[in-house]
Amino acid sequence: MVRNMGDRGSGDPLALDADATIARLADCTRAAVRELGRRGAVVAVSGGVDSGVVAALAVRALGPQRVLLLRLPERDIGDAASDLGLELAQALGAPTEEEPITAALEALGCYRRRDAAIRSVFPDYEPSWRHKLVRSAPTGALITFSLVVERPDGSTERRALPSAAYRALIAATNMKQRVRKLIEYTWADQLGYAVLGTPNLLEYDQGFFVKGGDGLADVKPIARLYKTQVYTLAQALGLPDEIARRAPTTETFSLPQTQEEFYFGHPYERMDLLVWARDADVPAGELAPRVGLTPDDVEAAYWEIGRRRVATRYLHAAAVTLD
Amino acid sequence: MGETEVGTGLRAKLRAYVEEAFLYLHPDVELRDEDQFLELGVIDSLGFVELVEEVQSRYGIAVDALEITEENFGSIDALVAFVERRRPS
Repeated sequence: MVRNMGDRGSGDPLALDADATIARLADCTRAAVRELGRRGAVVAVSGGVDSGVVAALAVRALGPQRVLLLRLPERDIGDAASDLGLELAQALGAPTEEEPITAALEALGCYRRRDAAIRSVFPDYEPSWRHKLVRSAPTGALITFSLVVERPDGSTERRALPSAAYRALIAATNMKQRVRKLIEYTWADQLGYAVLGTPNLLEYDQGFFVKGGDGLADVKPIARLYKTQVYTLAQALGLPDEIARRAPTTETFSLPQTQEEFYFGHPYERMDLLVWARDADVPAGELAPRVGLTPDDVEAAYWEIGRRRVATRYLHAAAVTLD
Repeated sequence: MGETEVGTGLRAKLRAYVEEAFLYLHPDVELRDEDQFLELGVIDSLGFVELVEEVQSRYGIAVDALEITEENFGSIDALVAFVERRRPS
């Protein structure tokens, strides 16, 4: 069925009743934790809005004393995120623990593997140089990646990333998400708690997570909420301002990096509408002025959204069992 | 298509590479020259980067990121046309 943008009356197809949504998600989270036979919840808080909302929902669902907020700082990200996590824990009245993961990652060879991958593209790279991964523009061409490094004099340079280097770099940096998850489950085992995951709809639907890393959880309370809806809930839940307004990052690379430049290719407000409109069969020409793109750009974005769903099926797939 | 004799050899070589690199776990797929790799699900986006690297190194073609499209790399037909058009004479 072809829908048009006005179908939902208010003109904002992603508008929601924040209080009712919070009550429903808290009820469902409590039911899910009980169904799993666990008696509380662990939430790793990054200082971002997604984990902030999940933490607040967990506190609503279970009470602050049945929730543990974990802060897992890592040297490429810095301590500011952990400080925000502490502020969140204090605001919610929930217990919190800090477990720095840098030493574990060092011992596992995360940084060594990452640096080797970067040196295959920038032979003079030094570990002190900040860096990030950037995708190609969403033009309808196939997605390719470039590596950006910042030299000690402050200049930056961008080079295309060959496939082998890309795989090695992603494999190395995915260790960060997997070590974070290891710590989360260690605490969950110790306390008899469930692990709550923090992906929003964009991340879940588009496969923007690490299998066995941030993709692993017992309950994913906000996986059906668009990013703009998560921000709406953050305001309604009264999260500290700096968390409720924080731009989404990848929590992975040492140069500041948005999810837009690494993965989605569009800012989240637009990406939300693109995903919604594609699934609602809104014609590209109708959506285009609403999101500030040409109809061709919207078609390219629709195409990418579909492609990403296919390409990331493996990330969602449970283990195959054999007869 | 007016393909040259050289082009016919090129087609066979590109097909052999694609079959070796991407179809070894898809013995049921009978790849026709016009079949779209993405639609068949035999090459993912990183696979395309590998395909581009192979074309660059094998034929000495510099490929700009904006040229990495289905039109240029999405099928055997597309590959042959792109390489014929772009390789140094």
